[in-house]
Amino acid sequence: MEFDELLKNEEPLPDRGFTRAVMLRVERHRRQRRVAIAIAMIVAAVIALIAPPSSPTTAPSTELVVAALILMAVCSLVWIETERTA
Amino acid sequence: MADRAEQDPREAVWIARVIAHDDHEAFGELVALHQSAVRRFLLRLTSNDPSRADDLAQDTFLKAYRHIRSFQARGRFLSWMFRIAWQLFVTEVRGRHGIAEVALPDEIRAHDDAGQRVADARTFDQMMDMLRPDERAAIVLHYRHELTHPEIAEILEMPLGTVKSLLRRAHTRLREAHGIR
Repeated sequence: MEFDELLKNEEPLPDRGFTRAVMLRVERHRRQRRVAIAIAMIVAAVIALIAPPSSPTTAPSTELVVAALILMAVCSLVWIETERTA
Repeated sequence: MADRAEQDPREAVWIARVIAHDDHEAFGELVALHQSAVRRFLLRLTSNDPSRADDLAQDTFLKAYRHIRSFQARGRFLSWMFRIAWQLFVTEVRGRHGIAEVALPDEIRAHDDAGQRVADARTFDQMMDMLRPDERAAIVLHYRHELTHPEIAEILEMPLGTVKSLLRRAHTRLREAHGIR
């Protein structure tokens, strides 16, 4: 028998809960993404409350720049953690 | 199992629904459609280790879900899945033992009874285990899924000439070692 025939004659593998297991992981991934976005929004809101711009023409203060950098770092860490555990 | 000859026409619709609406149900249909092909491919690569193959298969589908927007229908969805599965398998092998652990030709264990003529699936599994993982992958993709050499080269991220050599060598060794015609 040709081995391509042997390969072609293989029975399909029964699912046996595989699809369900994948979909649970997909759902967990979506949940983590939502949490990451929520955290980023909370941090952004906190910064907005702490350091409101005094005037649209005023240069950003040092505190605002630092806060923005912290926001970026936090979002990055959350993002990396989400990707790692997903 | 979705072959070249028997591609499910609903596949494109499900992919579009996942991309456009993040449709959970449509992605479930894609998983159900391709789970057998992807898991069998990984079973071959892992020398029939079901637990390891299923772990890698789950990772494959999750990665496909996360990056489905990059698919863009340039080729077959299943080929794209095989590419992800192969990348994850290679990464896993490197992570576990270093790439050298992917069996080299001189490390292949000898068959217990090289003169035995075989035609059953169990012995065929043993035959396949004698090949290197990249040879196994090329054989399955070419003979089981009827992929062309360029398609296999893209999946395995190898030059076309290397894929042709892999297939020729694997083909010859299977025939010579076991006398299958």
